[in-house]
This record gives sequence, structure tokens and C-alpha cells, in this order.
Amino acid sequence: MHRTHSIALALCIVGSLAACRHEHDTSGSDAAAPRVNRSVEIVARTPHLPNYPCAEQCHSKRPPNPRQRVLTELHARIRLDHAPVIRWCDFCHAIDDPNHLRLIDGRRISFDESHRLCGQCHGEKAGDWRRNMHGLETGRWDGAALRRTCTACHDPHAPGQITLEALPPPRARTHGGG
Amino acid sequence: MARHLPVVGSGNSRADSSPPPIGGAHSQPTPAIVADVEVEAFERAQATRREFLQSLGVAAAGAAVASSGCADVTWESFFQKHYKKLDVREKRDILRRIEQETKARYGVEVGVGDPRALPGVEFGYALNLTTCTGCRQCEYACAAENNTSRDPEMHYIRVLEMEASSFDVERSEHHYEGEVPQPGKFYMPVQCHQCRNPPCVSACPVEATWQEPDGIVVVDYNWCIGCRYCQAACPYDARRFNFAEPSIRPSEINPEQGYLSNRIRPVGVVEKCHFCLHRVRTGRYPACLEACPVGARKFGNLLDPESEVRRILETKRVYVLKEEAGTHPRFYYYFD
Ligand code: HEC
Ligand code: HEC
Ligand code: HEC
Repeated sequence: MHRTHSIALALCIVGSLAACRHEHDTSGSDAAAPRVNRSVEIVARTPHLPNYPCAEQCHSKRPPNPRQRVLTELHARIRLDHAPVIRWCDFCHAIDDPNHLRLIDGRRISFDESHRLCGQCHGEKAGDWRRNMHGLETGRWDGAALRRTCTACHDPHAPGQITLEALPPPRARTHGGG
Repeated sequence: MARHLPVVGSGNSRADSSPPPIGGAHSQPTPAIVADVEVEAFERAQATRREFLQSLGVAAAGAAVASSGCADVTWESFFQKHYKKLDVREKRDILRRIEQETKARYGVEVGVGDPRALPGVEFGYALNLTTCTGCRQCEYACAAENNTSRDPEMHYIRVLEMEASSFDVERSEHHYEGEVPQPGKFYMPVQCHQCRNPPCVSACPVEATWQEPDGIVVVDYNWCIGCRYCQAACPYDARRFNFAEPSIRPSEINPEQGYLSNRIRPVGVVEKCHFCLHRVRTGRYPACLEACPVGARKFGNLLDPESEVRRILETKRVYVLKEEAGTHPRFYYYFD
């Protein structure tokens, strides 16, 4: 029996707050236990960046070239494809301080804080991310958690659609048993 | 450019040896001698269970035990009391017995605990259908965490692929392959919804499955008689039955186990997702959540207004599956 087809898994809207309030009333549980030791650490990106620290590895000897062009020799894999306003590297990279990113107002930030960079334009997503409604947090739901910053998932240079290779489908055609 | 997404909690990869079968003759337990007569309700449950088993013609329990390779340990599980009637000492003995049994069968040192529901906590799950790519990392992380049978293969989570235009779950496909997400498709992982009004629980003739104070619907695998009524009652097709002797390589066994959750099940019983009870009652996130490379899964305490699940319920477009079934799930889907 192919269960997926025999059961009507129709999607229904819950509404929002009203519906869940109602459900909470019927649960009859005690008052919420407060989350005491809630703390969130943002997972550093710099250990994952092969070119970091950029100054020491290269740019102290070879200053970045601010001219907009197609890169063929170095960083040749980078093709900016993000937003029309983002024309060149110096929009996000502090070109005179290659170990840092740069905010629109000129402030320098660490490569570990890309959420501050992205949040300048993607305010709503960054807000959701801050409240763990977008992005990934692991660890404890009631205590210390680790959160990934935007560039753990998104390519800052050409964000586009995230695609992945699916793991193999389940072996059994039918369910019930497994 | 392909991104290297964070993947946490993937299964371990120690060298393996041949997979022995798990489970044993106690898969069809019979509730013979129960001396303690304290809680009337459980007496009734046990009486019902006895009658029910008799109606199925399950009488030759002794023979089944005798044919088992580990008769001494299995015998006790045959005559075990209902979970809710066990006192501290009896429960401790049972947990140690299961550990020894696992050690004897697999040569693996495991710890079987029984974490209880936390006061003031009701668990809820919210899954973001906008970000889910359908990669199935959750499905396999669940199997690794929960010691589900690899052969025959059993997965608690099933990821449905469907047309974004119609969003018709009935015409969904869960055997898609290759790169995901495919253009024009949505992906919806389905697992136990831990319903507030669980039809599976009412369907069980012997009270082998029930709802805990934190909302998790559990199964006592030692009490389950394998009638599969619960499975037929579930509108989400979330329950699985061990038709055959389940198998799992010793090297792949997760040694951190719970009596009502991921301890290795015998043949002939029903099992399902339990929100990783042994993890979440000790403050951690479920394994499927941690394995999701795109962060589509959110989990927390529904009673805590500051929790992310509550914020999602209050600010996002939230859906439940099959609302007309009246199950009131604690598993929600949302869109960004
Ligand atoms: C939209 C902002 C933005 C723009 C524009 C941008 N970058 Fe980046 N770049 C970033 C961020 C953020 C990171 C950190 C990435 C991470 O955490 O993985 C980064 C990382 C890098 C890295 C380090 C990668 C590594 O493997 O070590 C290089 C090199 C780089 N950028 C080069 C460039 C070049 C060259 C340009 C111009 C063609 C450019 N970037 C334009 C935001 C930007
Ligand atoms: C200067 C403002 C600006 C900054 C800074 C910025 N973005 Fe964007 N981003 C945009 C705009 C505008 C678009 C929409 C482009 C379009 O629709 O063609 C966009 C699109 C995107 C998309 C959607 C791509 C798609 O095709 O679906 C993602 C994801 C994204 N940005 C992530 C990021 C991340 C991560 C960062 C930080 C490293 C970042 N952005 C920084 C302006 C910005
Ligand atoms: C755990 C991975 C992850 C993290 C961390 C993450 N995102 Fe996303 N984000 C996604 C996925 C998956 C989508 C779904 C659409 C897609 O595939 O591009 C998405 C969608 C988006 C979109 C919308 C694209 C669209 O087409 O509407 C934006 C903008 C975005 N993210 C920005 C951010 C920003 C800013 C941050 C950091 C504050 C961030 N994301 C952190 C995984 C992530």
C-alpha cells in the first residue's frame, strides 16, 4: 500500500496567535520554566577562510587593486553577482585594511561579523537571524548555543539560490515498515 | 558557487563489524504475573492487554522465550510491569538489564537512561518551508541518533517533494534524487507531530503509548504488542513497524540511549519520532535540527514567550498539516 497517496495530508492555515493561545489554554501545564543560562556564541568564520589573514598572507606585499575589472589571475573564481549597488570589492572589504570588512559608514568589522555587513541591507532577515528564526543555532535550547553567521550558508559575492545534493531516497517504496 | 554549509551531528564512522540482529523473542510479551495491585487504571490496562493478547492467540510466550539466545535476560522483560507502575528500583534494574543485553548482543557499552519531563516545559517544533531544500540530512541524522534499523531500513522522517504551484501533499513524491531544491518544488519533511489530541494513543488497546506532560508521545517498546492500530490511526503516517529483525552495525550504535526513546528496539513493535526525548529533556536540540544545513528547523518551549518557536507562531505565516483531523499538532510549518 502506498500510504503517501492514501492519506490526505492537506495543509491548513492555523491563523496565528489566536490559535496557539487557544491550544496553550488546553494544555494545562505549569507556568514556563525560565531559560536561565541562555547564551549565544557566533561561530567564527576566520578559521575557515584559507586566505585569512589577508594582509599577512599577501596584501601587505601586494596592495589590492581598486580598479573594477574581470579577475583572471588572482581571486579568479570570484564573480560579483549580488546587487547593482554593490559594484566592487571595496563596498564590503576595507581595501586599506585587508584583514577587515567595511560597513557603509566606514567602520571596520571582523570577518567573523558578516551579519553586521549583511544586516545593513537585509534588515528583516538579520532581525530574524538575531531571534533565531532564520539561520542555524545548535547546542542547547535552554542554555549555551552556537549560531552560524550569514556567510556560513550564503556566498557574499554571488548569493543566489542555495543548492545541495540530496542524500539517497529511502530504500523501501512503501512506508509503514520503515 | 557551492557553499560549504555547516553540518553538525553526522553519524560516527568507526570501523564496522558484521551486523547481528537486534531484538528477540520478547517482541510479543505476555503480561502474566503482576502482583502489585495499586493503581486501578493500570490493572485495567493490564487486564485489557491480557484479553487482547489472548484474542490474538498469543499464548506460547514461554516457548518463545526458551527459543531465544538470551533467555535469562529476555524472560524478565516478558513479565515486566507497565512503565508507569515501576518503582525507582525496578526501573533501575530494567535499565541495567537493557544495557547488559545490548552489551551481550553487540559488544557495545551503552548507557540507558530515563530522563523525565521538565516542569514548565511543553515542546514545540517549527519547520521553515521557505528555506528547506529537501536534502534529507535530517532524515539520516535521525536514523543515526535513534538507532533505527539500517536493514530493513527505517526512517522516522520522510521528506515530501511537491509542486510549489499546487502544494498538494497527496500528490507528493519522497523518492526524488540529485540536486535540490529543484525549480518550482517545495520540500516538506514529515515526522511525528506530537499531537495534543493523539489518535494513536486512543487507538492503543493496551496503553503502550501515551502522552507525557511535556507533550511528547512515547512508546513503551516492552509493552507494545505490535497490533499496529496506532499506525493505522495516525493521519501523518508517522509510525513505523519492525516487520523484520532490525539490524544495525555495532560501530553505528549511538550509546547514549533512553528507555522511552532511542534504545534498540526489538522486532514486532511500533516506533516513531519522539523529538529526541533523551536529548531535549537534557536541554539539547533534537538531532534533526542540528543536522539541517540550512537551519530550517526550530525547536523550543511553547510555554516560554521568549522562545523562538513562540516568536515564529506569533509572527510568521504558520500552517499545520491536516488541521481538519483535529489532532492539534505541536509540529508547525511556516513560511518566511
Ligand atoms: C557584498 C560584500 C562583499 C563584496 C562586494 C566582496 N566581498 Fe569578498 N567577502 C565578503 C565577506 C562577507 C567575506 C567573508 C566570507 C566568509 O565568511 O566565508 C568575503 C571573503 C572574501 C575572501 C576570502 C575568501 C577566502 O577563501 O579566504 C576573498 C579572497 C574575497 N572576499 C575577495 C573579494 C574580492 C576580490 C572582491 C571583489 C571582486 C570581493 N571579495 C567583494 C564580502 C564581500
Ligand atoms: C548594499 C546592500 C546589500 C548588502 C550589504 C548585502 N546585500 Fe544581499 N542583496 C542586496 C540586494 C539589493 C539583493 C537583491 C538582488 C536582486 O534581487 O537581484 C540582495 C540579494 C541577496 C540574496 C538573495 C539572492 C537570490 O538570488 O535569491 C541573498 C541570499 C543575500 N543578498 C545575502 C546577503 C548576504 C549574506 C550579505 C552579507 C555578506 C548581503 N546579502 C549583503 C543587497 C545587499
Ligand atoms: C544556516 C544557513 C543560513 C544562515 C546562517 C543564513 N541564511 Fe539566509 N537563507 C538560507 C536559506 C536556505 C535561504 C532560502 C533561500 C535560498 O536558498 O537562497 C535563505 C534566504 C535568505 C534570503 C532571501 C533570499 C530570497 O530569495 O528571498 C536573504 C536575504 C538571506 N537569507 C539573508 C541572510 C542573512 C542576512 C543572514 C545573516 C544575518 C542569513 N541569511 C543567514 C540559509 C541561511
